[in-house]
Amino acid sequence: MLDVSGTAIGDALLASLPAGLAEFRITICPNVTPDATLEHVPALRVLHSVDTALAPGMLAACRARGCTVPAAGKLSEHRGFVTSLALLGDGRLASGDKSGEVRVWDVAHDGGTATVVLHTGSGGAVAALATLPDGHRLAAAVAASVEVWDVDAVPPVLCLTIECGAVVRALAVLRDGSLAAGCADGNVRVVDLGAGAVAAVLVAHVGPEGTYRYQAMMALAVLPDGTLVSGTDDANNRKVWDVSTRACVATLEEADGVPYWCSADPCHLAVLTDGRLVTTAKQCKVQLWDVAARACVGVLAGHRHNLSALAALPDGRLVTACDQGAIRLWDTRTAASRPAPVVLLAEVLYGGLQRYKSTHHGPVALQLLPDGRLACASGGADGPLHLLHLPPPTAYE
Amino acid sequence: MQRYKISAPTTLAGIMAAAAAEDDAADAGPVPLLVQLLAGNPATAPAIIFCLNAADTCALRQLHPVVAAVVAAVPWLDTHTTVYDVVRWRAALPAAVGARLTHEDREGSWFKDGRELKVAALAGVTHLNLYRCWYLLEQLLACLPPSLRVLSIRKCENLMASASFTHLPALVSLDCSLTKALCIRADGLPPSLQELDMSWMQHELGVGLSLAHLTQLRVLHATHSSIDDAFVASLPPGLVELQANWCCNLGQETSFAHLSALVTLNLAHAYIGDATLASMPPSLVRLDLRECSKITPAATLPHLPGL
Repeated sequence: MLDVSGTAIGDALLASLPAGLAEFRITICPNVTPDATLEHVPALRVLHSVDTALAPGMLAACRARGCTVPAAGKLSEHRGFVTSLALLGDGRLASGDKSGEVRVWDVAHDGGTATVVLHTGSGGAVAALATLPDGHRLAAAVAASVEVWDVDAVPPVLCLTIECGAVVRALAVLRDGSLAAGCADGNVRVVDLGAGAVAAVLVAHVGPEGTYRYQAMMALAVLPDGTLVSGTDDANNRKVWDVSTRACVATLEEADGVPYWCSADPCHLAVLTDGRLVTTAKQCKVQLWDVAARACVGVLAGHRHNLSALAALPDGRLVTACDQGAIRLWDTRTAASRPAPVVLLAEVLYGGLQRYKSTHHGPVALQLLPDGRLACASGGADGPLHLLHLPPPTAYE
Repeated sequence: MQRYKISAPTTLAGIMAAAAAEDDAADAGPVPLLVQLLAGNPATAPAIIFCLNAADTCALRQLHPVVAAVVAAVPWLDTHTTVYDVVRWRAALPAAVGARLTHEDREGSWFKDGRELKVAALAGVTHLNLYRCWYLLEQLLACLPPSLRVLSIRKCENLMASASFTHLPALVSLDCSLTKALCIRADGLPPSLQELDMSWMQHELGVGLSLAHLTQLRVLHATHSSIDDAFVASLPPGLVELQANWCCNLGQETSFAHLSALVTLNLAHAYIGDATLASMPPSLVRLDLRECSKITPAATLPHLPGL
């Protein structure tokens, strides 16, 4: 294994690699050119090359030889910090940034240039995106409102603006087609899109003594049975909601002995294909929950820095990213009985390794694409969207 | 229950022959039914004990006199569960060979009458974890049993730089990271050492510090330390693994050519250059040069067939 990431090495070093090298990490090496080749390294099985300008054809040749090569392209048109991703019904990728711009990319057809660009009304940051059930309308959380855009129209049309009364941080489409908006005042607004108004407020966080605990809502997830889960940055405050009755039916609390004051990751949620809920937890861990049983059924430990994004894959695997750029791929099927197998999928860093250390901008959003690739918003001003190939699960079992 | 390995198996014959032991675990919580079923059965008790750690022994002793006897005879090697009273620990687990001592000693009991009892309780111990034990001074260090093979004094901040370990002739692994232990001298390290962790040393290392006498040394962790070219030159040729990331005193002239057995080398964030790269021994299998900012575009790898 050789790791030369973040160095000034050039094509000469690649030309001198031994034929038997099995794993090569060359992330962010700006002096390597597309002329470099790895044909003389037939044993190569893992190549980490995000943000290094190796030729796409050469990478494809490596993949054809059985080498895992996650780096699969970059979308670089955003001028602001990309904050959110969503997949439209036709497979296009939508990305929202801090300047209020939303771009839509036809990633299935190379997609190097956004086909649609829209500017949200207030010009504030797009905190979250969600595709509505019709597949062509996009809900964007902008400041204290939710904007609904028809992105199939040319130019895109703003269909609706719903004021929520508090800054919206997270969005999720509920099973009945309404929209849940997680707000900075700690509550969840249920938005009736037909009426264009907030239909209900789920008051999430009242402290044990009846005192209001003012914690910003960070994430929402909808379980297969329609149950809504909300989370703040308090790891002991993941709420489970019966949306039909507007009632909180459970609170998921960490029971691992970690002190309350111990630093918690920002809350991120995901739902595995088997229905288990995934939450970020204290001490850079990830917890797997059987929500029906109100039980934590697994813990994934391995990251050394705060978790910044999660994505569940259809094959049962889980992708996690931390704010130091490492993206890991877990096989969650074994987590209950023994440590889940995990591999480092890639490192996606904003602005280079050295620059990155002071800015802490790891991936902030992950979105699985229809072709099996993973879109990754790398954070930071003008941070690009990276596209990553995911290796097949058999390689990790 | 945390899984933890113990150092030697306990036979069924040994269980059956064991005498009933004192049950001093009245304050332990309820024992899970599954554990009762398996650990209360002489045929399965050894198997379940292999999966437990010393913290589980209080509950185990409640189950059956035979199990209590088994527990007493197990050479527990648990360096994670904190021992608060080393004398009681020894009385409860007379065959134990490993322990982690609490870092707390508010009454200063290691410096008062009765200290001899505590020291005696450590007799025969082969593995000892003294992480953050502020009371570890030269006097206590000198009393540690010569049976010790693995010792961690990580973050024992009061241990002086002149500390010596030569009275521990069986010591093969020493973690003295985050201490001052090697800041002046390295001749206090016993030549039996095979693994040494001297990461995050709290002060600059002494000039001319050498590990040349550690001919058995195989693994050296020196992350975030002030090791320099001369120190690297002093390393024994049998070294297999060197973790020297964030070692900013390693310069562009550092050579690793003499480390002919080196398999793993981590130099991430060091200021090594192309010349150092050219000195890498062909034995290397894993090489980490991440963010070595002095490496130039002209750098090439020497012949490293094992990578």
